[in-house]
Amino acid sequence: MHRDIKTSNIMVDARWNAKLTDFGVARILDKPTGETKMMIGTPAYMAPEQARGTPGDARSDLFAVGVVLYETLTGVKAFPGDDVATVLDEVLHVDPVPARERNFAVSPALDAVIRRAIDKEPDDRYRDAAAFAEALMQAAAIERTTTGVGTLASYLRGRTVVLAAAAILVAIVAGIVTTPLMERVIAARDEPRKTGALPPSSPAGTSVPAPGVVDAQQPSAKRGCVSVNAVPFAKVYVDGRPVGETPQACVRVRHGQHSVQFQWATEHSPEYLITVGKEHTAENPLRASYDFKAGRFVSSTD
Amino acid sequence: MSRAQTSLLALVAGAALAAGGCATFEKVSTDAKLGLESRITKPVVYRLSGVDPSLRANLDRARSELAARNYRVAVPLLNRALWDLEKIHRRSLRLDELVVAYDGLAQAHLAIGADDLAHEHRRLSRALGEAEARSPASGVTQVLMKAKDAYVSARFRDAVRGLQQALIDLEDIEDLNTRVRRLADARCYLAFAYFATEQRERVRDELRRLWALDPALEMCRHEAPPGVRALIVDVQRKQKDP
Repeated sequence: MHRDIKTSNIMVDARWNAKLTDFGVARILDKPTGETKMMIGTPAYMAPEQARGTPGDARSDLFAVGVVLYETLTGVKAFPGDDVATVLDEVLHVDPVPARERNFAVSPALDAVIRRAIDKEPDDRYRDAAAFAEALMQAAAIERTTTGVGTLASYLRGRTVVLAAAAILVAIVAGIVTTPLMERVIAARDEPRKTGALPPSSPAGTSVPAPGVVDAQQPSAKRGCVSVNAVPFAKVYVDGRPVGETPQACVRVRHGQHSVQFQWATEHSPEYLITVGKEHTAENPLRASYDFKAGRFVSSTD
Repeated sequence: MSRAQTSLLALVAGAALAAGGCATFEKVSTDAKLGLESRITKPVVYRLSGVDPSLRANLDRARSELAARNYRVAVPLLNRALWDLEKIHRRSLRLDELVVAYDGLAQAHLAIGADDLAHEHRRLSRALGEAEARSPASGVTQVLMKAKDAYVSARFRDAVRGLQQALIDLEDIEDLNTRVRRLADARCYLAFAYFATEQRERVRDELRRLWALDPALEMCRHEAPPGVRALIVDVQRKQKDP
């Protein structure tokens, strides 16, 4: 594993070849270590399991590549919180606004690939870098067959990014293959890294106290679906955090009590308390809708 | 060459000629059927029903394109034909022709590889065929209102089901303007509900059909959420410059 894939660790040369750098926090997958409850990496690119302080696996790196791809294609971070605590909370609990909604040049196929790459559950992501790379190439191929001449420029821009991401994935595969070499490099450099892993006692920087120590002892939080809409439309906030715009058939939130609020232009709805349970699946979501014209929540009559 | 070899060669040549002949005959037969229908049968039926036969022009052209396997050319023609056919006052003839148009859309989408859309159009075709057999219902606008309510209250799956049903039931409205306006309304909300359930290709399909009625898509744009508005702009751009 690399453990710290992020935009600043990717270099692109004059020929648009992407190179993955800084294997400083890389660790051998099966290397016994007493630091497995320590949070390693950069919060905004960290997979949820890493944010919980668990070791993670190759799929955690794929999550980071997905976040990089999202950022490169949309120009905004997938988890844009202002401080580390907010970012970690978003990583753990908030699904980013689909890339396609931020940049319309992102094809539906590519959007689907990104969403799968940054799924909260490792089991729902691509099983390895090769599968991820293949999905990206397929998405590029679908785009090639459906893109008209008029959008050639945006297609080429998007395709360059996709190919760069595929190159990074190849680098990850290579990194895993050359892990014994990396182990020797790491052993020879037994000093704190300038980014990524810091001892638990380190002062605040890119690292934070390890909240994952507590979370790691608990099963991963289960999530349910909340279906949201508004008249005429609105931005939606769950527990004060933005989760996109209406209409959405399934905003995924943890089981438990939450507040939902809608914002349309400068108007805000009152906060609406909901309790999401295991019965609130994609087929049977909890519903919340606010009519700004009538100034009231819309009751469900099904 | 032995006599047996000569006989075998003659047999193979004969079979090849027969097969080619059958294919040619089949094509000639299909062309003749389409030609007969578009030039003689349907114009007579239309005139007897007091309908201008030119309303069938897009449908005829689309069917010719389908026969020539130009499926991507056929789809926009069929989308326009759906709105042209709405101008047929006689319900039974209108529904008959809509069945033909939806079958054409199903055929084209299947050939393009959009199986999901093909299935949806086939389902609509069947439902319209069944609707023709029953008497027109009253109070059909209630179906549309209930479906729109479902959309507003975030019951998107119910909304999709209700709006799909509305596309069939609204055919019972006699007044042309009311019928077309309600159908366009149903298609707009269907696009919104598909958007909510992340079925983007279906959103585009509905918007392309609405574009065939009104390239400005004013009616839909007015109530569309920002995500759908972005899709409207994209569909408009691609329809103008495919």
